[in-house]
Amino acid sequence: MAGSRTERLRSRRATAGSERGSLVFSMYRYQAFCGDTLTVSWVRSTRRREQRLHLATDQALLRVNGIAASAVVLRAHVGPQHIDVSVVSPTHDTNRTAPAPDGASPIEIVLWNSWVVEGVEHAWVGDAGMRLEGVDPLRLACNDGFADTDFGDLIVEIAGSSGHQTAEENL
Amino acid sequence: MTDLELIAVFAASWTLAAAIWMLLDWAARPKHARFRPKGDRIQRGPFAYRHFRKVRRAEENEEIRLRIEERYDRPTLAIRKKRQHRVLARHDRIAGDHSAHTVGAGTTSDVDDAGQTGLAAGDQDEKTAIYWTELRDKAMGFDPENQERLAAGKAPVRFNPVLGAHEEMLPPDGDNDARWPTVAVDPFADLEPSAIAETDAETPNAGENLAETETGQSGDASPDEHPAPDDESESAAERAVRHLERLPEAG
Repeated sequence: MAGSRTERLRSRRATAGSERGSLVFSMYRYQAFCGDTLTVSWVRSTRRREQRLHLATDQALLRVNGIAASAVVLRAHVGPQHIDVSVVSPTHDTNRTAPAPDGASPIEIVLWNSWVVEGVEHAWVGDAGMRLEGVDPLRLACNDGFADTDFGDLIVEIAGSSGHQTAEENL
Repeated sequence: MTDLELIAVFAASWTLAAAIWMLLDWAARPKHARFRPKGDRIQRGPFAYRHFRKVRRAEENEEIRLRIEERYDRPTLAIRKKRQHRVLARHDRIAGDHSAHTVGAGTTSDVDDAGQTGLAAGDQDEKTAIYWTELRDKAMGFDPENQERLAAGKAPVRFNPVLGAHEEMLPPDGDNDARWPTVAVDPFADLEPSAIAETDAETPNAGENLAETETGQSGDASPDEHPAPDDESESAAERAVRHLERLPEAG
């Protein structure tokens, strides 16, 4: 196939594709609920370029290290190896972790990887993509845009306390 | 009928045929027969808003939005003629109102009113143009299209799948270097990247897992369990876009 991975996905107007028997995503939709706590574990990250993982949602707030925001970026070379991300309802006090009255509604959290080159953070360019290597816990092997087949630039595992990740709904 | 009358009838019939031909040619000109989507026409009547609401609901689907943008170079069909000077997708409008609770916001200010991404010529600082040209020389992994844009002194463009729209890289502005639009917060911004030895540690089985995946195994997920229904979703989105185009004009 001609073109980079991101171009191929964009031309098909898809955020996921199948490559060599594996699913590769430009962004992954993770479903969780208010009150859930996701544990992001860094399995592996290359030292050639700083690798980052983005988590974003417009239905709740993500609280990490005492900071609540709708979009957070975690750097692989900074901070603890296991990071707890709490899903907090924006209608509630951000210091609380109790679920909102409508806690039964799933919240979609979008994940994607990025990297830094020459001080500039990039994402969704070149051959960037995330290969799904496990569903429970979620394990994503990321490509940082260089080298089509190298998905070892960043490997993360995400375990939810009571989250519901559905790979089918990402397709 | 005399010869003179015969000639007059002949000339009149041909004159009438020529007039009809010219009328049909005028009517078929693109200027007068320009295709305009249903959402682009002036909607009148008490049910006009119902039409726009129906279109907007359908456009909440990402696939439909992408199709519309691909075909009409703008992210929505639900526009009113009086607001043609500023077309905003619904998600972009929400992103502009709530900058602290948005996902990857920052694109509306970088995109022109037609929803295009800097492809039209704009006033561009010469210094910025030189910066983009120099950025091309750095090995950042830009694709050939963006490399051409950089060589031409234009900002690179990427497709943001979260927003479903293209966005330009922001030029450097004093304290900040060139960056893609983002509102992500770094909760560990105060920490220095000195914990590389800790965070770069591999799990005992990491190497084995990589070896397994490289041979084609992908853990719990298999192609049979999670087939990518690209064709099905594409045809459904295409059908939805065609339906939006055929919506009856209200009023």
